[in-house]
Amino acid sequence: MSLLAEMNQKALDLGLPISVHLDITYRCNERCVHCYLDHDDHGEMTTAEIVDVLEQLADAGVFFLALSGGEVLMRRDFFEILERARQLLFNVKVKTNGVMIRQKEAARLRQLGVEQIQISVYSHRPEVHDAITKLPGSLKRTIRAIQFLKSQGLKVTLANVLMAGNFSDQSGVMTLARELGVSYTVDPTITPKMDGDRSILALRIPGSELKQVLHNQELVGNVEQFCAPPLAPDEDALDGFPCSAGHTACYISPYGDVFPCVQFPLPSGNVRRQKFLDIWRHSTQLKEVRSIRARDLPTCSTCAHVGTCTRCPGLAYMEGNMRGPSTADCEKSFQRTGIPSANMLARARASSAGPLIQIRTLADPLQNPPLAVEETLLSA
Amino acid sequence: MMAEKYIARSKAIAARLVGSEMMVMSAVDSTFFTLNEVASAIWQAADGRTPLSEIVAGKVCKQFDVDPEQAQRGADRFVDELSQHGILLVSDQPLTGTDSSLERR
Repeated sequence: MSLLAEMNQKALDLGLPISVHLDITYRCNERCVHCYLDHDDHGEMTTAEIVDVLEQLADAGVFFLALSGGEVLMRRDFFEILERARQLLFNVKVKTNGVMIRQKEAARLRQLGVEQIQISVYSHRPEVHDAITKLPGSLKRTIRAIQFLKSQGLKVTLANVLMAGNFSDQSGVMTLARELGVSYTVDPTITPKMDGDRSILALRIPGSELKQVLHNQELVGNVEQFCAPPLAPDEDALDGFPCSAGHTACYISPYGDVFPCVQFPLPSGNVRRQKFLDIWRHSTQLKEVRSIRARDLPTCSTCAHVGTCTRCPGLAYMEGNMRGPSTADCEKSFQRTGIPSANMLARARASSAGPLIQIRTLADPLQNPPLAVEETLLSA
Repeated sequence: MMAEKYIARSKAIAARLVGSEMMVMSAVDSTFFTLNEVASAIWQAADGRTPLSEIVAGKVCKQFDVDPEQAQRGADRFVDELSQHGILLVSDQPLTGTDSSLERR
């Protein structure tokens, strides 16, 4: 176990929130087609409120702090917030589109000791990237920002969200990252909007392309190992929990709402009305999330993939049940190994069984051939 | 007689107490350390103004009931290692302006 994993385990044992993702604004200068946020300002926390939250987080034991948005630099007090965060000795990762970063901003980020900057790039071709961000010239400005940040010696990660519209440019973006001397990470996950609107899921890459991603050695390393059929789950896997959401990590919105994760919009409290530690320790919602073990999941506990699946409880929650399957992760497990998940098999059985309740008219076959009336009241 | 050592925490770090251990990560090279209770006590006392020998006598020997010579040797090794990663700043003169804006939590 690595030292970092050991500390994560220790934080888990002690019930400490070692990692917090804080969105300081939902406002943004881009309008990405796949974005799950509402960019209007509905009453963001003030500078003083955010500073107070940061102090509470430090007291609660938070070490890793991701500052994100929206676009963080849309807040004029961003550097004031960042400076306070660093005074409080957080390990800070900043997520940005880079459009507003010039030499001066890059130098300030360096001076403040930011650990890592993550920047979204969707394509190496301006016409594709800018069509996704809906901001003309955005790729050029983002690349320039990466160069400024690199010139300051900062660690930059280029994050490449894959959609049907930019899938074919994935290797081009990876090459761009290599040329710029930055890390590269790819994510094929498109999540529903925070208000529950699922229309943007149509942007997800289809299964055949997802399979290509999951079998790409440059992205996953040892393909044979990564795509191997799952072993039978042991007791540890069944007693395990799916991810750090609510256990050692949580998310705070610009309005002070606390959720288990940015991808898990289960309202668990608000730091404008309660102390962060009270929410962390006593929220019934967080307690419920923490209580769930793999063996408690009605469908997933019977699945061959239960020990290796990346099942996201937040995506499951957005599908209607935090104990249910996350179909996007079922698809990943299937495309990775070729073995359908228990959820996929159940759905296939249900759809092949025909309608659950049927009413047929009793007609004289000689008078009314062939049977023409079949009314389905309830389909499985 | 050996010159006195003064130690101060670098600003280019992230740190947090987890239970009785201190997690420290360098923002320069991402080196990650965990400090046990004794090392954490030295770390927290590293204000740039208090000589290391005084920290060892006042924080280590008293709090942890350790032999002074053994404690000083351990502290010297600890300071050498962290200073190599720029996590602790070391000088034979008091260090000013290195620690004032940092908060220990």
